[in-house]
Amino acid sequence: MFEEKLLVWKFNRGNRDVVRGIYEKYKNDLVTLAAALLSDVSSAEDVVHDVFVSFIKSSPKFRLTGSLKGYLATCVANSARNRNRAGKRRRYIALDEAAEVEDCSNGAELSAIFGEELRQLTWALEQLPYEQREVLLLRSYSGLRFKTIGESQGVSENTARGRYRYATDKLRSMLNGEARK
Amino acid sequence: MRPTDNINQLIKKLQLKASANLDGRVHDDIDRALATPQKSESADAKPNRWRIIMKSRIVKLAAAAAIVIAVLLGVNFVGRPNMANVAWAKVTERASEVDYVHMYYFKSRGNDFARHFEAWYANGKMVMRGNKGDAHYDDGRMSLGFDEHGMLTVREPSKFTAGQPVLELFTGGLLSAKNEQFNQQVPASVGDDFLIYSFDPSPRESDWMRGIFITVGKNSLLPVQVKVCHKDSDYDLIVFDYEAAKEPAEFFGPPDVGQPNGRGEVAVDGEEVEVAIADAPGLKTAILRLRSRPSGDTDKASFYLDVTFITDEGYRSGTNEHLGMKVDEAGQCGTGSAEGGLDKWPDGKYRNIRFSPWLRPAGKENTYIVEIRCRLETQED
Repeated sequence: MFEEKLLVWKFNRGNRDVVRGIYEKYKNDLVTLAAALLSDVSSAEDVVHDVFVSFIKSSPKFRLTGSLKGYLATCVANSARNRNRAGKRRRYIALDEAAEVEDCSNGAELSAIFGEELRQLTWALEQLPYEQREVLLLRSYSGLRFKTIGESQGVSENTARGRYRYATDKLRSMLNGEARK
Repeated sequence: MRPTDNINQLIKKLQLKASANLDGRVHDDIDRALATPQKSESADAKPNRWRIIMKSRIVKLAAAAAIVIAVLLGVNFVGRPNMANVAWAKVTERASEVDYVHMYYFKSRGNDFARHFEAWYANGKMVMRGNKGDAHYDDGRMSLGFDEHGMLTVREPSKFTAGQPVLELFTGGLLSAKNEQFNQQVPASVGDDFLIYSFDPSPRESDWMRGIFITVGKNSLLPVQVKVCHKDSDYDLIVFDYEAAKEPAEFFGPPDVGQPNGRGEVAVDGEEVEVAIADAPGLKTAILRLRSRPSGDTDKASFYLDVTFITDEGYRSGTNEHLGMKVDEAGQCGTGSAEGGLDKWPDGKYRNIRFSPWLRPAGKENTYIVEIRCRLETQED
């Protein structure tokens, strides 16, 4: 934690190498998180780019209360959520028809993004309600506390915890083949 | 893909790399945004103001006249001129050479003025004692922390191995030799015996801090007092004593860590393991589960540990999930009821479980011994 405080201190003083170091350290995890949320690499990279532009602009008044990775992951999730809302109606028009969801382009795209080996996982992730998927991914990739995730989603810690539990249960169930029966 | 229970492990297999295009865009933005270096308000502001003032012809004349008068009257000119140019870097350099120091940390809050903690450092070993009875030992190899009940709470590599000087450690990084802006700062005032360095708060602390004032011995160039002034009348005061009697060697030796309350062999990504808890009134069992974790930015194997407790009454605590663990290190944790509060147990009573897991090698591949030190605190505690 001290190291991060030092990084932030230098960041607030415009140390270019530190900003580059922060980007290099977290870029892959953040792109992965955004891609898993948005099912689109191009949009994911746009989100990460936007988050870093805002982050750079926040210097020299940036204040860190938790972990830096957690902060950046939350920013990515917020930005991805906004993009997702914009395209939600169009993308999930056939949400109530399981067969159509299974074959929807987003699922196919996620498989293409992450590789055929993880095809079933990406398919299962696609089936989760967005809020549950977000909690699961934020928890897995950034180790954020449920309280922080809840604050980011505007819900209580218990709701975030519940979403995580539902998400893991559903995912487990789907990966065991039950959802496709 | 075969059915699996380990969802998190699977999810972490999803890994993408940022494209060269994104790298280029972000690096360009960094270059653009930081093209004009921001000056430190701490290090540069005062000399600049001084230069501006000295540009005034009247001020120059007045200063010259003052010097002439002082010399004519035989007044002992306060401070040798060169001492006014002693950069803060000289102080941190000198401080890093210290082989013994006793430090007192006080807090003034309203009408209360109390010791927060004391620390001693001698030849690479350090002891810190908090006002609640907690203590921290660092022998240059490992750092051990104990709570007020003597329970081991922290075990991690020494802070000194990373080259952090003791005064930097004591002041939470304030006296860091890496602090480039502070390093160039010169004294705000020069007295007969002391130099006073004045630092403005960083933007991050500016909402509550007014400034940091450090008194440095003029001859020794060692800090003797650090005063952190808040915007209200509160302040923190750190006093350094270099001439106190040296403590004996055993003073710096940590106490015996004692036996754990529970101990179990746990396989990475294996089944959860139930461990019987002894000598921790109110607690009967700990349920442990160890998960693999990408090594990421650390070269040491690290894992996630999930811990749940069962009380004597059979109540289940909340699960502390994803506790980051490294081999041969211990950390401090706490948990309440499964409902998420300290008083939301089935009988409505208050229970706070404090515990410290320690991951030790078991001599087997992918298996570790998890030692649990724990204590259940009730409302009375």
